[in-house]
Amino acid sequence: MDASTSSRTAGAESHAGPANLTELNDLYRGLAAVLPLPDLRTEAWHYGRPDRFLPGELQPATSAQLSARAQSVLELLQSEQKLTVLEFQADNLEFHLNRQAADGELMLVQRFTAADAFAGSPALQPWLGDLSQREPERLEAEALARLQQILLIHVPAVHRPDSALHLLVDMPADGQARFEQIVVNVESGSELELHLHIAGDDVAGQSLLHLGLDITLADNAGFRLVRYQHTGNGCDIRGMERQRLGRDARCSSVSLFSGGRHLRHDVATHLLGSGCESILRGLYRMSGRQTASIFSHQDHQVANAHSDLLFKGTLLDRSAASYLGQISVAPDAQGTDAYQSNRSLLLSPQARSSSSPQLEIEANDVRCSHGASVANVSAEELFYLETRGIDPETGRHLLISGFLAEVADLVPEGALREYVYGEMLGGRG
Amino acid sequence: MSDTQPSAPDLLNIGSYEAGWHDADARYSFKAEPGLNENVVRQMSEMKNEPKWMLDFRLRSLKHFEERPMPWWGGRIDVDFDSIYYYLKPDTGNNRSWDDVPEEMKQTFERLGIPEAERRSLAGVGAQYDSETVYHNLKKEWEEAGVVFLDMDSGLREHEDVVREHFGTVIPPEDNKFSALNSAVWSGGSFVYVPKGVKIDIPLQAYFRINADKAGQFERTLIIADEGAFVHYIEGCTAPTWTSDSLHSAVVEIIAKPGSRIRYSTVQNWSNSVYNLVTKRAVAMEGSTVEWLDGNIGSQLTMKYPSVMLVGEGARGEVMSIAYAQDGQHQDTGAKMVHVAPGTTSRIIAKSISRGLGRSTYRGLVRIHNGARGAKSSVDCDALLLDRNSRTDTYPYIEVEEDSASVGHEARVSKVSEQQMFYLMQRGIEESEALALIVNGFIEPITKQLPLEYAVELNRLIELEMEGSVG
Repeated sequence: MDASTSSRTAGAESHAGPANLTELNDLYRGLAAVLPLPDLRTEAWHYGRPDRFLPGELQPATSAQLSARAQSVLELLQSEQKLTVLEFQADNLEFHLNRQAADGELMLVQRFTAADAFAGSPALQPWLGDLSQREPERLEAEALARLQQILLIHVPAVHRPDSALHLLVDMPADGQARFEQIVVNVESGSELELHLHIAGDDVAGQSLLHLGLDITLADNAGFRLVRYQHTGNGCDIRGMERQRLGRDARCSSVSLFSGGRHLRHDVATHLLGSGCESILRGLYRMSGRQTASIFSHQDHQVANAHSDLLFKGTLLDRSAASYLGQISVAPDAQGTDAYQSNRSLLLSPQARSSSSPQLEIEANDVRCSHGASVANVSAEELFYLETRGIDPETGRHLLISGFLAEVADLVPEGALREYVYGEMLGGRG
Repeated sequence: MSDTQPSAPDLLNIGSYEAGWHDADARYSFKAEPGLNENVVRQMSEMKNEPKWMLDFRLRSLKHFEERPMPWWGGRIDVDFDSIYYYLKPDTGNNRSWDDVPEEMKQTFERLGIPEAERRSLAGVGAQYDSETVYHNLKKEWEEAGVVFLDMDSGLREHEDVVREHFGTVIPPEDNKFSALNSAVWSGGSFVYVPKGVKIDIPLQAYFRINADKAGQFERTLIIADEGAFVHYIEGCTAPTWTSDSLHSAVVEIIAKPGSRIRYSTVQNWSNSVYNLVTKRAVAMEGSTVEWLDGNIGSQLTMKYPSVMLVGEGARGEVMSIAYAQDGQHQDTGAKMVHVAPGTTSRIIAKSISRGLGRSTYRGLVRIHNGARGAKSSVDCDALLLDRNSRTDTYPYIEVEEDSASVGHEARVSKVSEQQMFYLMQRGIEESEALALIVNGFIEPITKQLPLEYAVELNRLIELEMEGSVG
């Protein structure tokens, strides 16, 4: 990364932040103690319940046996030989298969715990610089105060690893909470594809995960993310994803959510270099009494950047989902092209959905639009299929698969996509 | 080109506010001390000779107003509540003939084109000057059909039972801070009752004028359409341009009984010193239709979200809204549709234009309650940005609890396309005229909804802003 990029996209030219994880924890412990919980009236939490994601009485996570779901993903990945697999647990980082590809010249995967000094890794500096400028809300401060480890994935300039990096994150055990941070740093002209698997089994009580994912893309860097969250009852997850894009950088992400109990997902894409592009896709399948609260922010700060967001969801049983999205266009961001859309299928009389796609536009030479819809499977489409001899049950299943496919098909082909489809459709309509 | 578009409003010359003069000779028979307290409210109620229940209603509202915090959302409200005059009684009674209206007030309304409009195309006219109605008249044929069109104070005196039954039921004082304020110090406004099956085929109109400096105008309107009735009510507003702020905070309650239809059209053209914080809501019963046509051209800050509560099966609500914000203006407008009953439908079409440093905001809610089977709603927002520094926001809220409902929302933001401009200019049309044509085309889907007879009055109002237009 050249000096000018690093200062513009990351604001880290002079850093006087924490020297290690313990210092970082201390820094935010103070804040966490005084900050109030987000008011339900603040826009980002309008439909959410922040208290659900407080650690409360939960114990810090310890290393445990892999959950059955995580184990099956691991086996699946191992069977597809070419992949690089990492297993990311509370106190160990295991490399399965092809460790060299991950840890060699092409890519640096490094784990920081309380004992490690940040100064030893210049690649972590942009993130620390960004951190020092943030004004965290209460839940984020709580997470940073308890952060147990940071995983750094660094791709040096002009490197394009051959294969995707798979990262498996297992949920903590019953009664435990884990706080993790992943920092992705893709240098100028480089590319990375990351698959993030978050898996967990049913627990009787509560299992809580706070997972931060901060992505910094230097000029002309490319990054592709596939996130797949599939957990059991009692699993609550708060995910925070931040993207910072330099000039002509390209970022595309696909996030799939199924299972779990309460889900809160924040994604912010900061378009900081002209000509950059961020494509965001998300899909949530909620059932039982699950809740999902999704907040997105497309932050256009410079001219001629492009962002495109689509989040879709299916809601069964008594589940509830809320989506709140913002596109903001700064006065200088002329030539912006931004799109945002949220589509929900309400598949049960007790399910609820709310949607609020918002625009704040201060430049005039822009193309911005958004859309939202909430409805059941269309009776007309069902009728059409019936006239072709397809019974309503199958027809319904087909229409729902079609609805999901627009996003789910973005997962690369292979055993994994099959697995995703199996989990997402869950054998029911 | 302008020859072929003689009546097209030219929004581009809304630079000079032409209704900004004031009547320096205005006389007031009573001017309450500035500021709001229990005394002012008691004094008002006593002067109006109101029943005790109304005084109690006012006092309860005042208490709520004082306790309720300012809204945390929306525009910046910098009103000094202590410097506002809450009750300004002009030195005249309520007249049924223009001849009896004092000369200077008559001139005010003549200048705004009100008497002429009545002669031509209105079934009834009301005119309010600061706190009190100075003129109110309904054509004889409608009076004979049983239609009631009075100012609210007379309505309370002459039809106390009907007023007491409905007053504050659609918008209780506790709804929001400004509905509480209005409920405490309301004065004037219209009371309309249309009997069963009566269809008033030409509109009723009320005209509101703030004249005094630092005045507060708090009119209160209640419209009831009985079963199968139809009424179109039009409201227009202007005020002088003062250097200090004025406050307009109305409450409009509409009750559409089964099978009735009410159309309510507003063009607010307040001067840039007016804060326009208004609550408007309708209850639509079985098979009824309520339409709000809402034009916001003036004011410093407008916060107004006409709403329809769709409580009867098959009821329909519609809001068509145009907002125009230029330097120093923030139009925070939108609509609310609450679907409670099955088979209800609603549509919101909102178009906004921001010019210079103007800011226009769409804020809206569509809520479908569980049980509103087959409810349908569609929302369409378009924003046009004319200058580099203009700003537009869209804050839609969609809440659905019913799986058989269908809700869609679409919004677009764009600037005037260079291609369109180039096309028109290479046909020999000047730049400013081409821009005017494009802007007119942008709002045309809403302006074409206006009935012909209404167009006379609306054009008059818009043209006040448009005079000196290009071409």
